[in-house]
Amino acid sequence: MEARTGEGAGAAGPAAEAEARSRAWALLADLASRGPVPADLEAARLSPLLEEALRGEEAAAAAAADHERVFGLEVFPVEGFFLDAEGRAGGAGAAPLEDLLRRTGAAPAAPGDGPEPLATALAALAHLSGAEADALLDGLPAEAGRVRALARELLDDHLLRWLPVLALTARRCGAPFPAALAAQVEELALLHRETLGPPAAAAPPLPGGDLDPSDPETGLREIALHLCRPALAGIALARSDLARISRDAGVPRGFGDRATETENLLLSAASLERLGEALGALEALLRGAAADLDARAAAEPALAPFLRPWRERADRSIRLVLALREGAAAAGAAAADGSAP
Amino acid sequence: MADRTSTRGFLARLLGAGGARPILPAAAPGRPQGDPLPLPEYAESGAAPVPLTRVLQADGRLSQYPPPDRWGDWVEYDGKAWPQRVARRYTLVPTICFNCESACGLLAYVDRETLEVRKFEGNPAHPGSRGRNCAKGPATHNQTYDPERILHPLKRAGARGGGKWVRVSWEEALRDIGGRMRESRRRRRDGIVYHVGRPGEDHFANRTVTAWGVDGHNSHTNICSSSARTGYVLWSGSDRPSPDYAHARTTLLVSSHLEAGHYFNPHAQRIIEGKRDGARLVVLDPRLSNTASRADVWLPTWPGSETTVLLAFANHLLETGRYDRGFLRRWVNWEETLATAAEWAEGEEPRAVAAEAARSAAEGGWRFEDFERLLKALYRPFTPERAAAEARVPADRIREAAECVAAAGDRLSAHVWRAAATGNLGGWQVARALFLLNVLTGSVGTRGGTSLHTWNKFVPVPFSSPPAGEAWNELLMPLEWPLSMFEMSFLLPHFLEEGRGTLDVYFTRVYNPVWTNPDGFQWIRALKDESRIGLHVALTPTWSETAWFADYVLPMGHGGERHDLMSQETHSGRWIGFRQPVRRVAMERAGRRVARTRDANPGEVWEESEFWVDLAFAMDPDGSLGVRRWFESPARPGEPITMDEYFGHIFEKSVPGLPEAAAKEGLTPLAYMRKYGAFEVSKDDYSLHERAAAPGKGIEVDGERRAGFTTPSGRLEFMSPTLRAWGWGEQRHCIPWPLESHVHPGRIDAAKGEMLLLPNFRLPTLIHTRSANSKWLYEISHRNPVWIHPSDADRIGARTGDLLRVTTEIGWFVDRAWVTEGIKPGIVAVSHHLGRWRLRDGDGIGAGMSSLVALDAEAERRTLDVLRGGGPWESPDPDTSRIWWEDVGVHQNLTHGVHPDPVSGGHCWHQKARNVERAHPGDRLGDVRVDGRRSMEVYREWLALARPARAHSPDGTRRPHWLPRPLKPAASAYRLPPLPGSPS
Repeated sequence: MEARTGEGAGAAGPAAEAEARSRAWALLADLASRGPVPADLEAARLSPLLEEALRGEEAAAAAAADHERVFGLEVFPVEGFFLDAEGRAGGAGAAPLEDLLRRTGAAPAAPGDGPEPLATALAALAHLSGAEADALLDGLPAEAGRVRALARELLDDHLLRWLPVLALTARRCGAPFPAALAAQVEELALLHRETLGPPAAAAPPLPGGDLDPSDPETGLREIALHLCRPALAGIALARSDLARISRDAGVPRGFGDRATETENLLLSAASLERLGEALGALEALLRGAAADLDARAAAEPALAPFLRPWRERADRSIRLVLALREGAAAAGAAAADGSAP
Repeated sequence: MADRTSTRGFLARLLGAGGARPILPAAAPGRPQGDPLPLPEYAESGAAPVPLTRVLQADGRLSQYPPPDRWGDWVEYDGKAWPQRVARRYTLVPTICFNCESACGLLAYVDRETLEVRKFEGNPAHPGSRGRNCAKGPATHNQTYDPERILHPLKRAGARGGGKWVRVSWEEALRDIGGRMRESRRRRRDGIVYHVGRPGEDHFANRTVTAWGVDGHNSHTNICSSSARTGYVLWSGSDRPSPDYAHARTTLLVSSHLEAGHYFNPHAQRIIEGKRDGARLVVLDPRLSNTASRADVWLPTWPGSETTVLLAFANHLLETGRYDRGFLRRWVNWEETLATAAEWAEGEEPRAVAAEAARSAAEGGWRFEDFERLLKALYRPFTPERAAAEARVPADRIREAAECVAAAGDRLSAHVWRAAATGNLGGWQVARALFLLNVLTGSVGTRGGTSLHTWNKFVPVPFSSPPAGEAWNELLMPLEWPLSMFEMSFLLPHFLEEGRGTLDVYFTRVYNPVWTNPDGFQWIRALKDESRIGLHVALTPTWSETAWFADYVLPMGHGGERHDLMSQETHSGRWIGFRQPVRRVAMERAGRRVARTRDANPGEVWEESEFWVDLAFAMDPDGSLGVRRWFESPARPGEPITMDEYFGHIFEKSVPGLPEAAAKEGLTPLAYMRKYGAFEVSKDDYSLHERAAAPGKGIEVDGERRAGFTTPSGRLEFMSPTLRAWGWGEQRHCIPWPLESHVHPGRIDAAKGEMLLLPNFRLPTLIHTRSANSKWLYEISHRNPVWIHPSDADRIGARTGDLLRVTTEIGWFVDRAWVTEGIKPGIVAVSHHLGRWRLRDGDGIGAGMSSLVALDAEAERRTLDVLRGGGPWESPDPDTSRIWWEDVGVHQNLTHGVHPDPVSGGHCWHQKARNVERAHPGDRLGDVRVDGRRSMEVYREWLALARPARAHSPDGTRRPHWLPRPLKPAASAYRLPPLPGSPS
């Protein structure tokens, strides 16, 4: 019999592995929720990925600030943001997730947070891993199997569907700690998934329909909203992405939420006759994101089924931007030769 | 499958670390559970949150502030420690910003443990700024902790300007300077001059100079607002307006200067409120300024055409009958105008109306209808097409703006301060023409209209006031400019060069003429010449180009380090603000006695008010000069007055309503002001000219005595009898009328490559010459490129970033191009609020904010060569090692010839650029050349335009006695001096 929590913690075996996973998930849940608070630093530095981003006292303070910025302003580690057609928490996907969490015995406790934050899923995985370790130590293989099935469901039907996009976006934001945290979570999720049987063959499709740029009802606001909803656009457009496009195209983007900034950016690009440049920068961003998805799928075949729907949406967005570029070029040519009304 | 060795190792180490499995919450961690972060021992870590004072701003936004009853002991989390929660305990001390003239309220957060000032935020109790600040207010913190600041009194060691200094005690400085003043004062009454740049206080210094018994007040006004003041004072007797923007239907601004610089914060917030309520904003500015970019109608007028444009608006009002007949009849000197019209009116129709009016008058008195006809006849030629042609803007745009003015009715808020007024020869007529629109619409003193600053600025009275002196200092107010507003201060070095006189003791106070004034090389020469300026004392919170040429550099406090009173005309109401040394107040709240403010400020930094008191004792130790007594305590004869005594008396005796408000809180008036920092004396002060006046006071209007205006007639003077009497009797001078600017298109030969150089705009984040001590502000804006239109850039083959050489009438400078459609073709614009320099590393202005230069002011060909631009430097402040910029701007003012307007005396800032071309080989960014011979020639050319009192005084005086001066001498001093050689 393997040692229970805290006893003979270094021993090898499935129970010890589950125990270690439980502790790691708990730590990562705490980091995802609170950022690198002093109480977690020592444990976090045991991860080579995180250690590099937390080396030294100043780096820890900077990491804490980066954590707030990236996960508070740039990209939101919440399932609904990625998987809901309107990019919102509390949508159609929230109820099944809540039900699953309830079945794990780890229903969300904090009122108002709902079931969707990343930290909630990680805490649930910590709980399930701990339960698995206990079941193995107690010689209850059926119970161990039950919690493993729940963990697989949580990973395949929920977390792995959006975690890779979160990780890629965090990396694009250029802040070491948030990128390292997302990468470490993804690594552990994959490691955990490997213990749960054959990888998933396919992932459910992403919700939401296409946007028709030739529809007279499609204005800049609609385009901006479409681009800012990850499940529709195939990319989680962060504020720093918008800043980069704004810089590259030489147009202002103003202030506001991401959709407002995007709309401002397109509007000012149009009025400054730099729409071609702005759309060009946007296309480059989308192509870069699509290439990132391809590279990730190639490096991690287990992720490929989860990345495929995102890749399709990214392609669709590229086609949308190309259509807009063509329209802008045609309008510019018409204006130049005087044929515009 | 990827290798997960790294993560497996992480898991093994995590497990190996031992301990119990973490107890998770039922599920989601959500926000922090418990607080593992250490809190400072002096923080109230367990304190319950305090409900904040919620202020619903007039524009609909909600602001929150610490409630005043908790200001004495306030706990909040340290923003710099974010996202960790570190509580700090403060005492909050209100003070007044010192970084422009608006006098906005600040709230200093003084750490109760360390007495460090951690930050400055807005004071919600301040009626002018209402809790809000622009970037310059919080930047007071930068100034306070500037690693380059001067912390101790310094005395020159080698030659003046040699840059060698020794530290001296305040006592030693006071003894030496006081002794030199005593010696001068015994010999003459014009040997001591106090030259103020940023006043930032309302009377203490003026009272001090008066007490010295000399004619020694010199201001920066005539490089700033002389011309606007002249226009307004000739109309109304008050030298600046007070627009009620918040309630306007139309706000009409000539340029952005005001709202981007001077009264930026209090005025901008009220303009926004007015706009929210539907007001239209019309802006005249050749440059797409921040303000212009928010305008409903932007008129990018050619400089010098503004008066014509404004008179086209006037014509529109007259032709469409949308002027206020009743107001004109009651309040304009129309009878006086008609009575003299035959002598000055030009043109067939006006002359015919004048003649007919005179005939009618002979039969039955002057008729108002004739005045209306005269106005229409005079301004009929000012069509939109004429204005459009001169301004080079579409006529439809002129009509649209004119309609906005007409639609305003009596709610037209209008303002000009610098801009076109100080840019052009005859710029004072811009203010005359602008105020004509207020007069025609009857929007003088109305709600939403334009009041006079004297109605909205509160002036307190000290416990005693020394009498006006009988001296007249010819170096300050020479005979050539009898109407100047005020002293001809920017010509001081030229007067000295001509041998007009000398100075024994010269104080520059927060003033940097070497850098700020035109023809700065002339200033360097004057300051270095000890035979002309015996002793130069620089009172300054920061290093400056001018302080380098001082004998003493005496460190004075910033906004949170001094006692001053301030009030400004920010809106229709009156208030008084109290600037305080915040560390001193914090120490006194903690029960520590502080004898002198310098004991509480950083280093030995002092404040002027206490310095002036001690200097009076040093100058007049035995009281025999009659100076000292004005600075003695009324309660303790023979002893210096304290700040508590001085300001306590004012608050108790001369601020209506303050003692009662204080009593309600169980405070003395002084304690009330120390607590809140400001007091609203009155509000909604409209139409004060209509107040009833006692018999013998004011003027009679429709059979009743009314307060009226402070002009000689008591009315608004459309035709200025003063101008007529003092030699400016032509129509183009004595009524609102365009004068041909020195940069009129007819004087600029575009075919030769000549352009107009527009230098007189500032950036709203800068503080004249003290920006360089504010790292946050300099990070925002630190360079002043040449704005140039793409058509002009194409012509000379320049692109953004290219070096250009701009040649003026006395020299040239090198700056980078910024190609933009935000400036009119034919004009280049360069803000003259950047381009600081230092002569040596390690001394003077910070290396990140200034260029290291080599200077030669002695030769005929004067040079400033940039050796190195800005860059990082080592200091106790780690931020100074993070300077990422090199371009710190170009000091263009050196290449400006002096242009004294013959009427207002103000410097006319616009320059004719004789050439704008790509830089020559070897030219470096910031290089400057000036022809010293040519600089004096330009001075003489403009001097020749003046009409001196000696030739034009109607009554044997130097200057109309009714015109304001900052310190008005006794009437006897106004008598013209005898001609040299004549019997006295």
